[in-house]
Amino acid sequence: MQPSNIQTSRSIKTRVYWGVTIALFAAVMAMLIVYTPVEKQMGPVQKIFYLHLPVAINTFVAALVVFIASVGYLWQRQLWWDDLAAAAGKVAVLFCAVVLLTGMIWGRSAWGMWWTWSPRLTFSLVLFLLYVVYLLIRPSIDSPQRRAVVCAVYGIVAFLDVPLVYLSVKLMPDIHPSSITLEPAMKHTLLAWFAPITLLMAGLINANYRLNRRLGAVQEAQPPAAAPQRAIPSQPILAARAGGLS
Amino acid sequence: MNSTSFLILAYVVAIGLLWGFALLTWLRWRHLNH
Repeated sequence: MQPSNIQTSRSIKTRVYWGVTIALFAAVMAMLIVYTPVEKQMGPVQKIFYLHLPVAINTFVAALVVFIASVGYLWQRQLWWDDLAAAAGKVAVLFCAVVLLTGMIWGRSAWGMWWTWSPRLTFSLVLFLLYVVYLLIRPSIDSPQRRAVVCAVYGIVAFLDVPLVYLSVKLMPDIHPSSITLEPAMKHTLLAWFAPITLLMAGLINANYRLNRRLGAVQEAQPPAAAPQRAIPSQPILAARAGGLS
Repeated sequence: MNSTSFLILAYVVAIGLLWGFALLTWLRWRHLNH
């Protein structure tokens, strides 16, 4: 197959993928408005849950991709693993931010406060900050190999917070609900929401990975920075120096 | 603010962030290819 044909085929696949993701997103939004019943105790605000939980689970998946890619880099020492880890790190930060913000809005309505230092909320905030730091340390290291090693070790250590977020609500007393009983229609809505959110997460990791690969290729193609040229003194200065010496 | 307002706020914030980031990624990709 010709390279231009491969590119066209990839472009069509990308368009179909994003078309399906957008269509599913619209469908689950419509499902939420038309099909899903309103919970009696909490009222309409409970519907945040259908977005909050799939985004939270996909945050863990993105963090897992960072972990696997970090192990992969330390094992094989190939830079594409680092590009994948960087892409997944960005998506983990984005998804974790959405989890925290939707949780805060739900908390303000349900508990009457935006934030409380409960174990799950605290570990979730720590997870967000860990991956923000992961993204901040990347540009501070110039050598691609050194950056990949440092970030791979950091990516593995940062993942340790994921089981803490998951288990905190089960092992410690927490205001955050650990399980919720749902009617069948509510269960269908929750399961349906996993589809577009998971597709969005995978699509964003893939798009950012390809972007990182492309940026890496562009940087490699650029000629190395020219050494600063020594200034050539102009004629009058030389003449003045000659005059001064004579 | 009532329960419905909090619900709308949450979805506007979440969809804005998720799809805003997707749009930004697409714009960067397009900028790099042109």
